[in-house]
Amino acid sequence: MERRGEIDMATEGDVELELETETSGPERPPEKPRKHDSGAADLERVTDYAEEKEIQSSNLETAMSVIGDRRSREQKAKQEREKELAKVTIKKEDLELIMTEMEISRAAAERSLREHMGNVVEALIALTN
Amino acid sequence: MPNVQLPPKESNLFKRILKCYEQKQYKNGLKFCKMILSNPKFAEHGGWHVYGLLQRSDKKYDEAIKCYRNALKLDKDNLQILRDLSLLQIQMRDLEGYRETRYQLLQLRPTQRASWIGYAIAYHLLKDYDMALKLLEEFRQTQQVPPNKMDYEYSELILYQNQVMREADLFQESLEHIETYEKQICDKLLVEEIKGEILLKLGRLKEASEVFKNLIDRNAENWCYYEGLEKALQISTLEERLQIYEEISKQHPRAITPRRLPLTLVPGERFRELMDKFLRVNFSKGCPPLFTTLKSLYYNTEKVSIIQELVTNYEASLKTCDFFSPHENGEKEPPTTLLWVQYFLAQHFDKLGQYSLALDYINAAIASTPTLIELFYVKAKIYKHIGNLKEAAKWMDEAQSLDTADRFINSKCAKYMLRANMIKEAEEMCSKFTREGTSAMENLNEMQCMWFQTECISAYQRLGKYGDALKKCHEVERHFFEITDDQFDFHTYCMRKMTLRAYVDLLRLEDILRRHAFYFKAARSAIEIYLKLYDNPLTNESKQQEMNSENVSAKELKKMLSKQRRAQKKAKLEEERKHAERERQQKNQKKKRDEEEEEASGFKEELIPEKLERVENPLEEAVKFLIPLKNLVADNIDTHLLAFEIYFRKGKFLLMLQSVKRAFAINSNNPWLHECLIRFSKSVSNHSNLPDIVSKVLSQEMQKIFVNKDLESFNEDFLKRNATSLQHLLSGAKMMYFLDKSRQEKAIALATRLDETVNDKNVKTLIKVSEALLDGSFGNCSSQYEEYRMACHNLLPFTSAFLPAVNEIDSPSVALNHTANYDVLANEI
Repeated sequence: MERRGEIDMATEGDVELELETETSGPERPPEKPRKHDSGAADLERVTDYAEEKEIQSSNLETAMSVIGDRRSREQKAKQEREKELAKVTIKKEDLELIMTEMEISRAAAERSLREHMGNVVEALIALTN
Repeated sequence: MPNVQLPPKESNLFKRILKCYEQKQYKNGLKFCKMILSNPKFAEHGGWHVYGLLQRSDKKYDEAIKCYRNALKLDKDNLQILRDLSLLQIQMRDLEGYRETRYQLLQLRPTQRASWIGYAIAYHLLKDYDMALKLLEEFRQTQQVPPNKMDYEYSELILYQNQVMREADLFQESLEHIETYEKQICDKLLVEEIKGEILLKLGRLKEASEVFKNLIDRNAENWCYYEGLEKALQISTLEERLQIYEEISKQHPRAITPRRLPLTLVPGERFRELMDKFLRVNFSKGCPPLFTTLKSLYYNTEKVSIIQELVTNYEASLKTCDFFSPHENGEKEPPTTLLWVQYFLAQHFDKLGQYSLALDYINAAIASTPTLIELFYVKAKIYKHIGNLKEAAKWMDEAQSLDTADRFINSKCAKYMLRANMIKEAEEMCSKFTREGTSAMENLNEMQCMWFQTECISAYQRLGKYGDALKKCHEVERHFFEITDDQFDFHTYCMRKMTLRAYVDLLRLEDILRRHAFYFKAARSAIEIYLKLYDNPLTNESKQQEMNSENVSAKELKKMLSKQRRAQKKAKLEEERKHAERERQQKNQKKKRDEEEEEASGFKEELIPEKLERVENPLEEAVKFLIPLKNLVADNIDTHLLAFEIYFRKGKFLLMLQSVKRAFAINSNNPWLHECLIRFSKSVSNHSNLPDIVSKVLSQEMQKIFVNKDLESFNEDFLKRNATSLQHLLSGAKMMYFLDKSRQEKAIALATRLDETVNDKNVKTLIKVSEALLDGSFGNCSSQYEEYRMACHNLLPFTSAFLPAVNEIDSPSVALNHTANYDVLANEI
């Protein structure tokens, strides 16, 4: 962050209120007619690409390694769960029945069926809860 | 864009695509893109990225994500692609994907602060507070802001960090944290409030009480501070509580709260004493919202009668001797005191349902002060409660005419007009404040003025103008889409500006956006209408039949039809004139509008009432409105009952089961649910050819609800259980007839009971019963209907729906303008 002069109070110039509302007359060409006519120009600035601010840090390495460890643990847990579910055998007719009766996607139907070890009646009871 | 050399043909095409994007001509751009991507060579040259950008601008976010993933396969470490992908992922709330992408961004650019913030936010949203805090702390340390410096962005970072700690229940850490960085936080009030909250959680009660005392000194009207103080002092007895309020009141003599809160707590004589004081002060001062302030006490009948005694005595006394009671002396009360007392009494008796008395008092007040808006406002409200909506609109109109610069009363008047089905008049009323050059309806839609639109929906619905109602339903739905869509730009903006608390609040708001009452109203009406249209589809000829001509004689019908034709012609001419004028005005902007339509492609599709009410698959349209309700408003029983009605017509038995199960869990005794259960059970037994699995699930689950009872017994039990509630009696009676048509007489007798044992004989419920007698729920019963109408009229002489029929049109459900005679009767009141 850039250095600023030493001030105690919070009222510095960098507290911008870029989304101020303005009253507009009928002649003003509406840039985004869906929104109300207030600060449309400022709103445009919201999407402007700004140079990302940089930080100086010498100790990024340790932080990054902690993150790396955590990530591999998360991925592993997720993969294991998926493997367990994939082992379950399910029947195609059961899957299609669930999709038709409950009007849900194939993915959701499949997940539900697998979580109930392929038992379609139990899966349906759970889905109607 | 990666810099690569392209053969001239592709290069030109690429340039054209970029031009399209800049000019927001996304449809054309997408077309060219598809052309290029069909050529496998070009796909390697940033084609997928561009395609993704275009999809995104077209608001096809799922498609865009797929494009970006393809682009990444070819160009793994492209920062721009990763950034764009992350924005899409958070927009679509793919939190795990978002976290992944942000991790990759962090690896590529560990020195950019947005990388850390974005990654931390991902963990926060996934509720992994540990990681989020680690990242935030790492990041905070890099900020190097010296301890005597005040910097807004740093202050926001600290407060965000603290919020995450509190959400993680790390109260000790949070307290230390806030005390350490206190001096650099800009929002001083928030710091105190946080301290108070945490000290309570940590059980450090003495310190907490100090904090709350200071907060009350700062603002003695915030009820939360009093709550906090009581918790901190561990107040258990009433006396202790009253003492606190007494002390605070001495320190802040003008504060209302320490005087108002005790009134909720104390009973009997004590209450009379305190209330007497409270009322006198406020009547003398002339406090218009006085009744509103005390309204929440009206559940307690003892307190209500004490208030009534006190205030009616004031009134009697003030009329004779200008004092609150006859044996006082000192300064006399000014005449306005009597005015506010009468104003209060009008509202009081209105609340108790004694409408005649309420009108007496408000008319007395009006007689003395005919220019006070509040008086006409209350008079209008009384008529609304009576059920005479035309009269109510009339008095609200009177109110607004007293100050045409007051937008509040103008809006209220428009609303009352809509309640009385006076749609054109309501639009005209609003036009006094809407933008010049466009119609009020259009402008109010542009301004997303949803209170107006939802009232219009109901009005059109009552009038049977389903197409117009559906148009407004879709308009409201589009507002919600836009509000959701609008958050896109804030993903980058808020991170840049470091307004992280506001950003997370925004995300959380957007997550539950359609929980808002406006969406519920629009969705509910849309579903009700689509259900009606499914049951009675409109054909092209049935426009004439929309007038419910069954109850009208042939002569009347002819008169009505020719009147309607004349009115339609007139309306058409008017429409054409307006249309021509509008075209002239907007001719200049036509070119620009075309481009903007391109930009928001897919959503400027015009909503045409006639098409909407003749849609091919009304049940599917209804389901679209239902899904957000199922996801977000699952705690409202009506969601599930509306769902049941849809699935009943679709023949989806397991979804019907799901709906009744969920409704049953919320309130097993709900009257509408009871009807659904019986219809459901009957339907299941009528369908013998359901798949085995489905039958198995049904029998197992329905057992839990019906417990082996046959439907007649099930209904009898329901009636017995609710013998004093008219709403329940109505439902039970309807089902009695449904299950056995030969019991029609008994069923009608049950529903039309009006003896003293029946409790809720109010305007709403009585109207519901009479409508049921007309809509076929009890078969043919026009003579019983007439008997019932007369009986209701005796009970509620001012209610429009029960006034004796004039002409041959006697059905309240025929919404024609036949109120001329009603007005005459109303004026006699």
